[in-house]
Formats: sequence, C-alpha cells, structure tokens
Amino acid sequence: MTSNTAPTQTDIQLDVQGWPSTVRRSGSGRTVVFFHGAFFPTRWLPFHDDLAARFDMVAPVTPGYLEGGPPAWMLGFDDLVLHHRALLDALDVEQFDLVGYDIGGWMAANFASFYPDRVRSLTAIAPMGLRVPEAPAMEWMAADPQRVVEALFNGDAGDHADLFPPPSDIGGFVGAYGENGVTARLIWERRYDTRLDRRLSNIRVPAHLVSPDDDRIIPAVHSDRWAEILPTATLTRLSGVGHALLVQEPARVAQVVADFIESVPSGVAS
Amino acid sequence: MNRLEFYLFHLMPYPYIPAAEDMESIWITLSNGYYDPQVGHRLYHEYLDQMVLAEKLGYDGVLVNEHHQTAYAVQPAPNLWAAYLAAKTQHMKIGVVGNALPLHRNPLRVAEEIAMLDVLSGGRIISGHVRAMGAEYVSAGSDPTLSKDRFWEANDLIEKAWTEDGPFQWHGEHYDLEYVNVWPKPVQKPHPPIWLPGSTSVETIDNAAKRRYPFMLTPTSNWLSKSAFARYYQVAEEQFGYTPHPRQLGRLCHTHVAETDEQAHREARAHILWFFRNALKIPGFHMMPAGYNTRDSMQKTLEGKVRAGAKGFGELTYEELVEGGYVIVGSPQTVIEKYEQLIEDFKIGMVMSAGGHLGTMPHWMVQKNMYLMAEEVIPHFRDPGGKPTWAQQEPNVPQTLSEYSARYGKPKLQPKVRLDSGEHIETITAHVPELSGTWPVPTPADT
Repeated sequence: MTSNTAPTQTDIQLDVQGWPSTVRRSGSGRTVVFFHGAFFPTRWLPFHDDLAARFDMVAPVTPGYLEGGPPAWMLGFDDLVLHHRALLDALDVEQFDLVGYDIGGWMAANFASFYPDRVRSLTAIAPMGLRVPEAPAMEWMAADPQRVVEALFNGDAGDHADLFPPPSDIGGFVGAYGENGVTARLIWERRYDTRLDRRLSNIRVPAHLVSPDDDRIIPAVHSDRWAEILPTATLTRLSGVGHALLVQEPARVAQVVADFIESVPSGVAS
Repeated sequence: MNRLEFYLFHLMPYPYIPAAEDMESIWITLSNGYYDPQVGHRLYHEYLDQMVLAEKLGYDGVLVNEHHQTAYAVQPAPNLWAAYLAAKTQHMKIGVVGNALPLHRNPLRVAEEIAMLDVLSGGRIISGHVRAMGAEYVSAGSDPTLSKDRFWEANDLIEKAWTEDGPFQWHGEHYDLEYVNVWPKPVQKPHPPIWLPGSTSVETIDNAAKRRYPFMLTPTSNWLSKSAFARYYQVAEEQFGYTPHPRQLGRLCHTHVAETDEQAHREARAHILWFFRNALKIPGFHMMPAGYNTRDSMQKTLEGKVRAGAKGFGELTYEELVEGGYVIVGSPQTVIEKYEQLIEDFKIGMVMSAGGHLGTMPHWMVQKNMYLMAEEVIPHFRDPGGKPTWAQQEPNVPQTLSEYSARYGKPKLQPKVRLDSGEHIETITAHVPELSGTWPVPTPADT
C-alpha cells in the first residue's frame, strides 16, 4: 500500500440528537468505522486514504474536537457510544469493522461491548484505557509540548515539530488547545477505566491489537494486556515506530489493519 | 470615610529554590525535596508575625490564599492560617482570598470552615472564592473543563447554606446533597463578604459586578488594570443599574516604601525581580493546561496580549515593572502620589499588598516597610484620627460578657432534659432548687 494519493474524503454534516456532527467518508466496499485518538483528531491522514483504497471508510469526528470544547452532555465514553450509535444509524451503517486509535481504541472497545451485534471485528491501535500500574501512560496533557512531540515520535519529531504550535501561532495553538480540551474532558480524571477489563473480556468478535514497539505515550505493555484480556485477540507488534505510528508509517499500519479486517468474514456478525 | 482600605497580602513563598533558569516551573514539577521544614518553621512564624503586626500598625486587614504543590505560595490550607490569625488578633479583617471551590468534592466544607472562622473571629472574615489556577487542576487531578460550572454552583450553594435555614436539598449539576444544614452559621449577615479575586478575565469581572461582589485584581500593569476596573463600573452601571462603591474594587500591587526613592529601589529591586522571574516561573502548559479555558477564550487572551504588546512577567525589566505599575516603590511621598493616582484613574477603594512581604524579602525589611507605610502613607488616606475602618465601626460581636448580656440576654431556647418522672427541667439552673422545683432529686446516699 502507498500513502501518496490526494485526500479523497467527503465531509458529511449530520444532526445527531441535536448535535451538529461531522463524519468523513471515503472509498467503497465493506464499511470500516474509524474512531480517532487524542492526537491528530481532526486530520484526514494518508493513513485514512490507504484504508479508503480498500474499504468504505467512515470516520466520525468526536463531538467537541471541531468546536473547540467539549459538549456539556459529554461526560464520558458511554455518552460517545450512544452518540456514535445514533450517528451510524443516521448513516444507515448497520454492520461494520471497527478500528480505534489511542483513546479511539478505548471508545471502540466500549462500543463493541455495548453493541456487539453491530461490530464484525475490532481493531485497537496503540489503545489506552486499561490500568497498567507498572507502566502507566505518559501524562502529556500538562507536559512540555516539545517533550510530548518527542515522545509521540519516539525521539525523532522530524518534520512534525509543528504538531503543537507555539502560542505565537495563535490560530494553530488555540486549535490544538481546543482539541486537547475535549480530550481533557474524557481522560483528565480517568486515564483508565477499571471497568474496561471486564468489558473487554465480554467481547467475542475477532479482535486485533496493533502495537508500536517503541510507544512512549502508552507503553506497548498496554496492548499486551488488551490482547491477554480480549478472548479472541491477535497482536501485531510493529517495530521502529512510536505512538504516532499512523503518521510515521501510514502504509505499513494500514496494511496490517486492512489484512486483518479482510481475514474476517464479511457476513453478519454473530 | 477613609478613602482607601489597606490590606497586607501574603503568599508565604519558600524562596530557597533553584534560579528560574534551572527549573521547569515553580509549580507541579519543582520537587518538594527542596523544602526544609526547619527553614519552613522559621519562615511561617516570621510571615505570621508580620500579619499579626498589621493590626497594631492599623491595617484594615490581612489576606491569605490557597495554592498547592508550589514554592510560590506555601499555604495549601488557608483556613488554618485564618484560624491562627483569628486567635492572635482582635479587630482587623481576615481575608481568605480565596478558597478554591471547584477543588472540593463537597463545597460545604468551605461553607463550614468559613462559618467557623466567622464565629470564632467575631465576624471578621472575608470569604474570597476562586476557581484555582490551571496548575492546581494538574496537581489535584481534577477535571478543568468543568471547573467554571463547578465554581459557580459551589458559590451559590455556599451562599445559600449561609443564608437559608436548613436542612434543605441541593440537587445541582455537580453537587447532589439531600441535606444542607451547615452548623455553625456565620456571624456576618447576610453572610461574610464574598470577594472574587481574579486577573483581567472578563467573565470574572462581569460576574463580580452582577453579584456586587468586591473584585480584587491580581498583579498586572496599570494599562490592564484600568480596563478591568472600568469594565466593572461599566457593567454595573449599564447592565445592573447601580454605581459601585469604590470598596468593591481592590488592586493587588506590591508596594515598597523607604526613606527615599533611591533607598526604596535599593531595598526592593532584587526581591521584586526574584518574585517576577522566579516565583512566577510557570510555563503556559502549567498555567493554562488543556481544558482550563475554552478555545475561544484562549484565543481572546492571546490576541489581547499581542494587542497590548504585553511581555511575560519574567521578561519584564525592573524599570518596566515599576513604570508599568506592576509594583509601587518609592519614598512615602512617591507612594502617596501613586496611590492618589490609583484612586483617580481606577476609582478603587482598596489596596492589597500595601507594604509587606514580597519574594525573598527578609523579615526586618518587611517590618520596616510596614512601619513606614503605617507612619507615613496610610494616615494620608484616612479620616482625621487615622483609624482603620474596623475602628470606626461597631464590632460584629460584643467585646465583653456584660455587653453581650446587655444586648442579647439569654439565648432564645434554654436546654432542657426529661427526667425519669417525665418532667422537663432547664439544665442551666437545675442545680438551684428554688428555680428547678423538685430538682435536684435526692442522691442514693441521702436516702
């Protein structure tokens, strides 16, 4: 797979239970729903295009990320499960393969545990949400942005140092500030959910963990733990990448994600 | 009426820490390994002595405040200091400016403690309410995105708990309490003054004006101070139809006075620079972490700074700090002239940090500053006789038992107990047979 195509997505605007929502969609074939993470939340990336080359790619933008602050009604992941279900209903997307990155993996696992009949397969890319006391996720929300970028790109931010623009770039800075504020609502007080272990253990659909081997935001041992708990999980460890793997090696990540999805029968989920 | 009220404001810093360039932040990540309790013991007592001294010197009051996990201000539990000061002083006001309401899981704790302090002190407490700085949401692990909503709900709950007899129910967005019934209730009616300390946040100013809460502006330039105070007047007059009393507005502006202008600068310069460069060393990601402000309010703040050409505190030269009005330094005459200017330009009626401690200033220098303020500056703004406001007013509680008895007599209800016979007697006079009837009953030894 390559990552050199021009973005192809269409932005769809929907009213979901009174909340103006944006969904990005591209490609054709079996439907893959992608829940973004705390990083690059509103960007359509080459990674998305790579998946859209093989699937009908549906990527909702979590409420608040485009608006610059969390909606009053969004107090936790359960609210997002209901929001996403209503959004997918509105799109007439009944069954799909579900992919989530970072906190999107956490969202996806909750969705799959509450609505198992909607989900053919679950893919979690560098997910967070479990309590792993020996290797906690990095506290990045109140850390030096330079340090966060370095950690994201496992020591080599390269061309991505502008990911967290400085305050002198007011537009860029406040854009990221607003996005991080939504993430704050979701994870500031709850960097893990002790109920997630039990929820994961109830998921019966085929599951796949994609784990960068040098993840300095959410250590790889988190994915190991996810794979241990999820009864049907397989784990793919990718070498030489960090938590920003979607940006660092989009084609390689999209390839392993897509290959797994295609290995799952596309019939009605059980 | 005195034209200005004078308050001594104290941060109680711990100054024996690395220079600014050698620490990421004075908040959150500066290790408390630098804190030596032996040194801290000495500092606390010096700081408290300064505050107690303020009453004898004729200050209107003293102000303490709440901060967490920082050498900037080592007073995470300001109500403890208020209790100490209430016991050590008799007359002046004691302000906690303020308690960080949203950091409390149950804000009634603040209502209870302030009410306790108000009763203990005889109605001398000012209850400042603050949202807490961004850094404190990091150290407390508390969701900053809900902090504004929690602040206002907590504030309203506390005010109601002080003013309405309980028990009543409170079923809010953030606090769900079946029984609100705070014991004790405060002495001051309808409740201790609520102050809103804040920076130049329009939202804080507007809400203070709306609720007629005194607004205390934290250190900033003359230019920004002018627009903040003007906004308070404008909102009060145009939106709420009243003209604020000057004592609804106070400015926190450290003042150092010495015999001459030159001597004042000589004494204060290093301590002021330490404060602005070291004690205010806080990077943006600690000051305004994600979620503390909305995107739009952050945008306004940054654009405002660019428009004003404002530098960060740590970038200001000493001369800029003085000329910009962040601090007032000089001879008594210079300080008097600058305070006159504050009254004229801002129409304010209170000054905080009006002489006293700043940064690394030694105890003797703080006391010298305070004495000169009291001798040379404060009387200029007082009515003839030089009395502070508290000495011009009737105290909120009787000062002697005879006064108490004359004013209040006996409490409305007398405590009673039911005897085995079914009869109730008043316990206070139970030991006097002439008053208690058949009481006391014979003891077994008598029978």
